[in-house]
Amino acid sequence: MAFSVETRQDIAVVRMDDGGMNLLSRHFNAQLISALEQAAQTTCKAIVLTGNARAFCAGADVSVLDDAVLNLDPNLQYAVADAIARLNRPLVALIETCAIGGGLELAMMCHYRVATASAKVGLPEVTLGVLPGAGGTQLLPRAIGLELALNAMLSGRVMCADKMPAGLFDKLTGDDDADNDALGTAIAFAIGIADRRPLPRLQDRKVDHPNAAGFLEFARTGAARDPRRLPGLLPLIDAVECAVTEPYARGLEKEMRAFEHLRSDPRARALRYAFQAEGKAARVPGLPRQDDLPGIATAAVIGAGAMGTGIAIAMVEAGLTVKLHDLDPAASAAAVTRAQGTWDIAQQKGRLSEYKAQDHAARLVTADAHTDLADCDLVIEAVAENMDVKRAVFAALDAVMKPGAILASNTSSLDLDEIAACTTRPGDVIGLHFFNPANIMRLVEVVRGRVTSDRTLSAALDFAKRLRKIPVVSGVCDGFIGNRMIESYVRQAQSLIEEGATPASVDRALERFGMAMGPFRMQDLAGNDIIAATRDRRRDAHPDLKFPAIADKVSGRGWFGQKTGKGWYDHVPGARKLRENADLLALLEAHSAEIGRERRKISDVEITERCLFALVNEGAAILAEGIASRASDIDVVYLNGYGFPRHLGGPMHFAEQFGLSRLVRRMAEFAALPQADPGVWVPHPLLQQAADQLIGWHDLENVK
Amino acid sequence: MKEAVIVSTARTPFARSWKGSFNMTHGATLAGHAVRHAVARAGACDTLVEDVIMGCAAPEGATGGNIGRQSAIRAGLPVAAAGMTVNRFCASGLQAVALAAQRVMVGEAEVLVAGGAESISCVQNQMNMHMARDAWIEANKPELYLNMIETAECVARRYGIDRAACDAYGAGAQQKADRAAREGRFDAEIVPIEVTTASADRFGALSTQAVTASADEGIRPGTTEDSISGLPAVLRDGTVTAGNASQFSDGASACVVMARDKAEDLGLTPLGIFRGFAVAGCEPDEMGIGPVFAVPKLLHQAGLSVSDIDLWELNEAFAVQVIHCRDHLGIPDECLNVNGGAIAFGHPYGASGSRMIGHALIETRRRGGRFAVATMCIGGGQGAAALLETFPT
Repeated sequence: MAFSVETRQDIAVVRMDDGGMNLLSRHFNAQLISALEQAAQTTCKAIVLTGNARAFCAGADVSVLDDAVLNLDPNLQYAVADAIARLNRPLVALIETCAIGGGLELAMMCHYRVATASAKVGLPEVTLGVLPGAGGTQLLPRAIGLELALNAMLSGRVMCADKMPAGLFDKLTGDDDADNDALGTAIAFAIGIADRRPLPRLQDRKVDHPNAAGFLEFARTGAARDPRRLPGLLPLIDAVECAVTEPYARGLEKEMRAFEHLRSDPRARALRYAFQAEGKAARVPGLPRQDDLPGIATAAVIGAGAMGTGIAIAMVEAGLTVKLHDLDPAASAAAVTRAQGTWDIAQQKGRLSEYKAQDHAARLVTADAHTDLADCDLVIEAVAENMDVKRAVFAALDAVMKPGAILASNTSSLDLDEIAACTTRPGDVIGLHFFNPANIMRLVEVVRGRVTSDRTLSAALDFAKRLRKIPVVSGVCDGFIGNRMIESYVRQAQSLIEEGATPASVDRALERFGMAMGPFRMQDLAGNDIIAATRDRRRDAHPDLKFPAIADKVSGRGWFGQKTGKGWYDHVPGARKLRENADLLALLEAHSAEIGRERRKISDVEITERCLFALVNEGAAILAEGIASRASDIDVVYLNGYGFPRHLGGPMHFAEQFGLSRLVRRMAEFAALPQADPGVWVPHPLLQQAADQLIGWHDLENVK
Repeated sequence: MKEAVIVSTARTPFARSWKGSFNMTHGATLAGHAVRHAVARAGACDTLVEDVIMGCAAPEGATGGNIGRQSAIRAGLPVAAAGMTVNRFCASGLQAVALAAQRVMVGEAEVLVAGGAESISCVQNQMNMHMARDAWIEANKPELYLNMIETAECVARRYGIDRAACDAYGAGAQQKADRAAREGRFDAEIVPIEVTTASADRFGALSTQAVTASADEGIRPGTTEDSISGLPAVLRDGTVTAGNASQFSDGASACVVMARDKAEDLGLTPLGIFRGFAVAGCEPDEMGIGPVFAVPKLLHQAGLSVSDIDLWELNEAFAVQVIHCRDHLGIPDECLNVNGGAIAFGHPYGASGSRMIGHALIETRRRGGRFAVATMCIGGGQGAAALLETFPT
């Protein structure tokens, strides 16, 4: 857990190790400088700089960016750079695992770079709302050229070292060699270059491009329309332009100014918040560490519909062997064909090797009977959303599955406790609610039943992470976190069209706000028949719930959405843009008159605020009931499952930024509208408390 | 007075702005290409060129710094060939050729190059907006600063022209241009050019490639009234859509203008004679109807009437203003924009006028006609019109 210096064959090896991911901070930098000075006092001819088993350096600690004054003395780009200059001999960075953000910038300040082919490298700063701030914008173009460097930084993608364009690494070591010794390779490399002078520095190189101004202007045009709406894109392009037009020192200053300006941008704050929220979502407060969790090697999926198939694909791609069972063997066979098709396309596009495609195919098999699944470590049920069907499946699984197997349900709304009660081992039952398409969408709601054991919960969280998903734990309630909240949002959207808006005007307002898809497009995609069935079930359970009648009229006419070609919109096959459903617009006029609503022009601001505040109020209820343990968990659900704009941080973060007390007063304004349903606009006591006491969600969590 | 003849014309293809081939090509490269090839087509008269007059609607940035002079140098003309830039917004190219012809007609020059260039890709998003508006004008004549789409909607409202009529015209313009391109009717004007183009792949990765641009990029084969009727209006409840308005594009065009006797001395057969030019102002909020005022003035000067004109090039800024001008002036459909216009090729503002003059002469000759008129509406509320006569053969 400390920095060390040792000498081998005239080469000093400086090892950075903070016991974790080697996150840059003032103290880290100070230790690094000391270690370099210590190495410089030896008689070594060259120095290899390397990290620990987890990272060369994973960049700056993100929370540092929230400090009012960014004090990074000693910093990377000046203080560490001075120390490197004082070495007077070559410094070789050895990247075995990862060099990300500031970590890659540190490597670029070294004279040479050696990396293992599979090491993860990249400058992802734009995805956190900022730009590389320790010389990355100046050094990467000097290493790999203007165009490729700009792409790498605009995308923010972290990639394997061997996918990085030539020019960044002086040597790549394969990790397929049996006696792979990256350090040995780096030392041998260091010996080879030890006497070469002058010492090569990326900062001394020139960026050659025949028409940088023209290319960068093209990039600006694209960046202005980038759907990610990241605040750092245009400043990044400006900084990169300096790499072409200005000396290194001037470019560095300009980059630093842009960085300093960006880090306090509300969008950058929201992006950092989202990053941190995702990091802590899988850590459940009060959940004891489980040391001997069962390994999951084989898994089963029951139900070969779209969801079951997607889950199976995700699991196979994570390295598991998957058995797929459906009552209808033809459905399982079709699912295997669909999965195969996915991998074929990936292979054709060069995203999957032939070997891996074959390996994937070999690990997805069909099973004819429940008994064939008995030895699986985990089984996920993805059958029809009907309690009787689910109970039958779980009773059958209970009868055959080996002891200790995890029994998971992909239910999106049903009572998990009731499902668990059908088995003799309710502690082993958990909900794993995937989002469609399950092999692409990263969100998984992990539904913790009343008696779900800590062991089962821990194993499920580990499993979700292994699938490279983002798990969020939800308690049991109708709809869990995501679908329960979306209902209040959709109800508002439907009320708005009864009062004078149209599906297109509501969707346009919310899409301008940043939602990936407006509520009416979303309903047409999900299917208005499915939504009607949920509505009926909700009405049965809660007869007091009021749903706008227009929704029943739409589903009652068979306007189920995309699948029937008509829904809230007309869906013309092959047409890129949706067309308004003229019959619906006529129906709306009549419907509004019938229910006594005088249609009025509704502003975009009213549309977005009403939909979002209804969403937030339900979020407060979910938080108060303990369904979600943190407001940030709710935001993770909305960012990753419902297309909420990441630069606004999620509904709860957005509400806090809007101002909770201001929001409550806006709700009172909506309650006072002549046609309002005042019940909707009663702030949940938790929200009211926050507004009254001028505190945020996080403070409320601590009070509880 | 001497007679001014147009001996040759050449242009780049017109490329779609931002996504098209010229998205990182400097204006001088585009204009220099047109000038060089126009001069070559006029029998390599480069040592005779006295002045290069280029029209440009946004003469700044990549088309700034006296783009006329830059064009002369970039074309490889001797330093003795002077250069100037003129701005009459969309009619800049038309004005440039008119100026060259007038210099010849009064006997002050014998050989000139005139045309226009515009790089909307490289200029429009970076325009200098510092004190771009005068407070008095904003208070007293704010229409002068309306954007062009708003003026088009004003024409639609004021003269009762509906969306369906505009779409019918727009689709027809595309169909005419597509047919003409397939029949090679622009081959005598367009000179292919090699450039470097930036593009983004479907993952958003940017790169540059060497590209040879050889055809107008805005032509969309298969366009029908139905295929554009679903396009959203740019302004709420408006008539103007991407299907019935000119496209943003980049390009350059140039013509060699000579004294008739000089051309005869050189043994050249001109395309035609520049007979006259007129401009007229109108209300800025209906700038699209400018030709309604400029054309009668032009015809009156020449003692001609609409029925004497064999071919009309009326710039297609917006279908709505073409329709109004056509109907008001009584221009027969069959001799108006016969091979399409800016709705299909795009409208690199400064270049369009020169393209229209070149194309009008080539097409009128092909049809065995005598008189052609090239006319344009102009932002700020103006019309310009030029009268051309094919060279007697």
